[in-house]
Amino acid sequence: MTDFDKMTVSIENLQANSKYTIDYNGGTVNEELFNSINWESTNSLNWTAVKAEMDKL
Amino acid sequence: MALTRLGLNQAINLASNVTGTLATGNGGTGATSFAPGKILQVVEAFQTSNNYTTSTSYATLFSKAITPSAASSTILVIASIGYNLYGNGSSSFPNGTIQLLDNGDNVIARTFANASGNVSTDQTDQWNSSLTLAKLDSPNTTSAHTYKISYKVGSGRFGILGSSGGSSDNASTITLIEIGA
Repeated sequence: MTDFDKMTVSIENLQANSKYTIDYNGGTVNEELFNSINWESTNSLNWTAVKAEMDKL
Repeated sequence: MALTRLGLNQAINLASNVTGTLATGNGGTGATSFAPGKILQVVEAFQTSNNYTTSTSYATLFSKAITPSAASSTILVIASIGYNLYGNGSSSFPNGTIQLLDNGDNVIARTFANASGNVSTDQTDQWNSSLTLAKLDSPNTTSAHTYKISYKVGSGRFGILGSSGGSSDNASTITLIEIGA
């Protein structure tokens, strides 16, 4: 599982059925990438929580 | 027409040695029933980045406009779309839909990508493949006419693969071909 996959799985784990689009072209998965997400559903997550969940995977 | 007899290895100059009217294929101008080529122009656009969605609402990915040289022309639209399906930890059968829209945002073609089912118990399997959309459209205009590609997920995560660095290699593409009447 790549870091990008871990990020989207973590979002799903923490906030099920989240709806969003994102451009990703193989760079580093970090807070900047997380903040670039175009949310279509309500989002209450932040990078710290998502990163903590990623580290469990 | 006068006849010219050629010796061995002797060339003939069609312009000076033949009377009458030469066919256009031999450099002449006398064709009276010549059917011109039907391909009037070809334009192309490609997706330059990888786009992923978990949304069940359509989002436009990329588009290309063409300005027909005649209202009687038809436009052959061919889109080749590389995609990624991912279970995203929540779906055993991730799937997505791609559609082709005309200038008025009418859906003129649609196709569906469906994974065969996760093997892993954590629903994190990946599938990469490509789909093709093709449609012969009659916009009946000489104004710019834009065709768009949009996508949405049905389940899991759906990605449309582009090409970074500005290259069209391996990118998802849309090609518009104007065909004369």
